[in-house]
Amino acid sequence: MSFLMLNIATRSLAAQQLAMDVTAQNLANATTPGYDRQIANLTPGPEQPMGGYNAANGPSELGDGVSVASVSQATDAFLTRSVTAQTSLAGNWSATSEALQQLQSLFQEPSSTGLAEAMDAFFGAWQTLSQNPASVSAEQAVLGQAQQLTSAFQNISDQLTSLQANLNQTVVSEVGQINSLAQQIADTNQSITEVGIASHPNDLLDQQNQLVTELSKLVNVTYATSASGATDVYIGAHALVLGSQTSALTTVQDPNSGFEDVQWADGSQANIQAGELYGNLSVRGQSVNGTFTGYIPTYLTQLNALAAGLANAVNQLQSSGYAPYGSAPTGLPFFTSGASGTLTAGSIQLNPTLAANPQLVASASAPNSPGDGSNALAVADLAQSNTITYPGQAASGTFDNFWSALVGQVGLDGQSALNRQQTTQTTLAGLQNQLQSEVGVNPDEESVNLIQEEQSYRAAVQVITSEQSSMSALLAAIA
Amino acid sequence: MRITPEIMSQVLLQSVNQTQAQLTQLEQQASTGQAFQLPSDNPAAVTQSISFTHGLALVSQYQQGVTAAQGWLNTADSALAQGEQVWEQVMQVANEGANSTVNAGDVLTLQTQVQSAEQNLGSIANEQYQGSYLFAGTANQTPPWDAATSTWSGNGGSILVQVGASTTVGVNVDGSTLFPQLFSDLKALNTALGQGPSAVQALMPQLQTDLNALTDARTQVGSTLALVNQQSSQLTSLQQDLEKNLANVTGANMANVTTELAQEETVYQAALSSGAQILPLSLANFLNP
Repeated sequence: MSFLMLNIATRSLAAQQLAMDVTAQNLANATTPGYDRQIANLTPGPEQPMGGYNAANGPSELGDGVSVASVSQATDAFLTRSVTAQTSLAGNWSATSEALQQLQSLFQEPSSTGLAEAMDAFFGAWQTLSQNPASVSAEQAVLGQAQQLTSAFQNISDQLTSLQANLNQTVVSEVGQINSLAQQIADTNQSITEVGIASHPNDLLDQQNQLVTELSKLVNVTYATSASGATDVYIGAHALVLGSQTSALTTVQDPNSGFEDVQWADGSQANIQAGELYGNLSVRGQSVNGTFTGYIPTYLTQLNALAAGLANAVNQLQSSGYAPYGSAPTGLPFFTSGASGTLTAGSIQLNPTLAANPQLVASASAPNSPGDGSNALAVADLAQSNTITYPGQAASGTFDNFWSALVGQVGLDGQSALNRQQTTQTTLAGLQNQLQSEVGVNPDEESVNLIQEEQSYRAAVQVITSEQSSMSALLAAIA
Repeated sequence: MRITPEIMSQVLLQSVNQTQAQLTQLEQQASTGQAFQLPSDNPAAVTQSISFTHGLALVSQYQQGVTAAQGWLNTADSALAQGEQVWEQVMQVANEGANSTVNAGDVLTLQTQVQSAEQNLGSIANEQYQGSYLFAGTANQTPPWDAATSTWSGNGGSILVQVGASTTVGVNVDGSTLFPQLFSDLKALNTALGQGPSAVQALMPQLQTDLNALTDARTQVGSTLALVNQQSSQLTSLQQDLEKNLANVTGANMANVTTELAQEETVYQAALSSGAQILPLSLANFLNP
């Protein structure tokens, strides 16, 4: 009688204990984000020739017990890549839609503080003036409504530019986050190569996955696992992380727009196509082939064109018209651009000379005609003129048509960003669930495994007890 | 496909979030009565509502114009009616003066009557409406008739008031072609009374022409007023149409909203209660230690 049985039982005890440790680890990390379920791979021990009685056919072979060959991870590289790519898309539309939602309320109509109402009230005041051109209170009303109109323009313009400034700050901080995540990935790569991929550093690999997924939310990345187990990360074709080395992204201020452009530290262009960084850049505006394009720059251009078109049309009539007691055309513009040169929605203001001298409002078309309100009538009728031209815009049309086209554009952009956010989010959730299905921990399954392992452990103990009693019986016979 | 509890809780959370988002939107619609709160809710409806609101603003401006025009024209009408009365009295005076039985004492009385008619006509010619002189054309901040120097300082300009998208009316009467003639004829009558009945008789056709001129002016005012009144009723019906259209576009259909709200509430409750029942189940509950 040999001690082989004891050996086998001992090996079994050790193997089942390790298997139970793995099960315990799985149960403990059932809800840890990024945790891939670990599997204790049991293999039978190597076979050995046994002395047997059938020597004619050669010795039989018997394995000597069970051992845990390795503790591996459940992974699905394909699904993980899909999740990473989709995370970038979802991040892109989530950031875009969030930013666009912020400026929806600026363009809300009908609204008592909206631009359409301000324009209607302004031209309405001119209409009232035309019925009573020499009335000081009617002149004051025109100037008062003009102030409201300029504030409405300035308000929208200011809110848009301040959102741009916010997004600019966010872009800078996101670039910092990307660099920091890249550094963490590089450090983890270092640890993995030190431990060696053959030793299955499962927790380090989980950490690696988490970092790459977090990174993909911010910017579009592709990655490849090298033979040493390190993950190389690329943005476009340029490497972000190679083994334990990183290349940094930096921000450089564009002299024309004043906003930060994102590029690599070595000066090459960064190919950013998705992720929250791209979403924020597309709303704030970025230089593409020399032109500064984006959602907000487009809205600002249109708003400025509206302000300039309106100012030009009114200025012309004010300048060529006569004040009620004027003997010559006033020659004054109604709207000026304040300190800055070009007249934009942000710089438009009422001519201070007119503000101080309401009697210079040009209501008449002939000299010394305090009862003539025909010029005021002409200004009021600008509200329905569809031959107004807007600087830099091909289309001409009425003020409220131009404004409603802009509002429609803003609404449409916001709506479609919301829709895409929802779609990409739903697809991402589906992919994440699929991935979970492959690599996630099911506590019920682990409980069943635990029962099996416990029983095997008990069986091994039973074998030891039985070997013990057999040995005692044998010794008792001899002694 | 393996299902883990994490998948089940994720699915439940997603459904609950979706239902809650729907509920929030319906609640907002129900509490504000508006179908949309932001342009992104319904871009097409927002652009339509802008154009309806603009139309309503224009209609309200024109209605203001109508009111102002009616004020001017009514005042002019009553002033001209008074002018007609004064002139009819003048005609009577002239009739008496043309009668050969008139004596020197009567002539003095008649001349006094002519002079007081001139004064009346003077105050009618300087009639004001809201601080502006009705018959002075566009130089209407100073009284057109200066009795001391017998000069007319008004001009022939028109006061234009817009009462429709393409309808503008002149609301004043051109005093410069009407009144100077009247005053000079009154002076001539004064002189003719002193000269004798035949001189007065010679003036009669001119005085009749003057009365006709006053009547014509009043008729013109009347027809302009009729146009303005017609415009007013058109504007009212246009306003009603626009308001109805605006309400259709921006108002929430309350019946639909309340029905959908009830449905979503049921769905929400079902999701929550099923989650509460299913999620806590686990093999560990049933294992004996």
